Amino acid sequence: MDKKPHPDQKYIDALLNNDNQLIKEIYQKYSKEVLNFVKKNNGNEQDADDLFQESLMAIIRRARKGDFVLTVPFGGYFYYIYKAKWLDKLRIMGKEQVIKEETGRCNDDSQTIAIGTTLNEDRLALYKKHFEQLTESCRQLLRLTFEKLPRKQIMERLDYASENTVNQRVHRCRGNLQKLIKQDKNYDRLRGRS
Amino acid sequence: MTDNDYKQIDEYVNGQLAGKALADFEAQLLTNKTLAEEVALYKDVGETLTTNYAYEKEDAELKQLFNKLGKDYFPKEEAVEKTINVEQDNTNIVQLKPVIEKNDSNDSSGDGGSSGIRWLKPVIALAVAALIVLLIFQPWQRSLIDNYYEPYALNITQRTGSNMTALIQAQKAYHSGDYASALPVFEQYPDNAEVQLTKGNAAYNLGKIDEAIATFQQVASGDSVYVPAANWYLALAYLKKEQPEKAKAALDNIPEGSSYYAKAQELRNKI
Repeated sequence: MDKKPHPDQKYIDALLNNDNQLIKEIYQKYSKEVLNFVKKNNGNEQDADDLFQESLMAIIRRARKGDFVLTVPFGGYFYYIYKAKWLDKLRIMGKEQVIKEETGRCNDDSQTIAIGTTLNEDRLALYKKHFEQLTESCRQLLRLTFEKLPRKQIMERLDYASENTVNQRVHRCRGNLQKLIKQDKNYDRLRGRS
Repeated sequence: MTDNDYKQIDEYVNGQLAGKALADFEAQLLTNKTLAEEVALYKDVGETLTTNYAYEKEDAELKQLFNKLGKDYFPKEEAVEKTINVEQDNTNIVQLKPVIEKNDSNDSSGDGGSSGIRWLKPVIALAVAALIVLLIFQPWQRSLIDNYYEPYALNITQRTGSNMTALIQAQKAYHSGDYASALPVFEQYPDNAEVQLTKGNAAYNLGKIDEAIATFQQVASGDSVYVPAANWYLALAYLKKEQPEKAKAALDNIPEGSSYYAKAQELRNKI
């Protein structure tokens, strides 16, 4: 796929840099569309507000990974994300899952990139779920590694005897986490897809 | 995979392998599919959880901005709050005046029952005052909490095993408002902080505020990522019990980097 950024990459950068003006522009351009979509599909204003926020957060988390380039218009990409999220929500709430939508929104590239973003969210949920099942000391330790704290500082903060001990504990905890994740029935569906 | 394998993977992913060790490891990656898969997962788990845990401050700022824009572009709460206030004001004035004016006109008509009505006036005034107090303070107190309270959105997906199936069912019941069915299932997961947080919410919605407080306190005293959320719900439960000082103390325990920080401060100022 062509990796040349679309001019709408500016919205991705704005979300990453908390650019209030451009983020406001996203709301100006798309809030009405999201509200109409949600109201047509079993939801209200509060649902639309939540969906808007959650979809933007999904984009931000994907973009934080560093290898993300928006090569399509933001609107189509955003549409596929909020649609997928709303379907998920309806499923959890046990409501009807037939989506009434505007026609003519299909764009393969937008959909492909959006699927990558929603899969990233699914993987995050999978990883978090098993992370929560680790022992308290593993969670505490790994959380600091995910926050990118240098191992030396982790040693000091958690009062480990040496950096080597920290590393040994990290390897064991990460190993346990990998095993839990790989045993999950959703793992095969989610692995190796981006 | 052994601890030593994960040591090598960790060093490789963090760019700490060099020279022959690096060349050997990369050669293994080309032929050993299991190892390659472990490395890919190790990398992705690290990067993905980093996007969630390393940006608490940024996320709190974004949340604040989104909430502000949400109020402008998805108007709802404020409109509801205003309507309630206007209704209360109208109720107070409109109901009080006609009662008194009507009585006054009866008095001036020289009707035989006028002295009785005159005697009733202070009683009526007292009753109306009591009504006003009820109308103003009770609904106001409720709306403050209710404007802030939203049930915690548990989102557990497709776990294996029958117990997990029960949990998924309980989650479904919880989201549909059937808290009584969900609560006993949640009780079976005492070590899962997120489920316990949800259990507290279920108890709260069933009016079991003391039980909700005990559950939130337990989660808040742990070291999970749900501590700020537990303090948030703990504060709302204390408000329900009309214990504002305790509610403030719980809100004060929410750290600045938390996504609950902004609304915690906002609520604290209103208590």
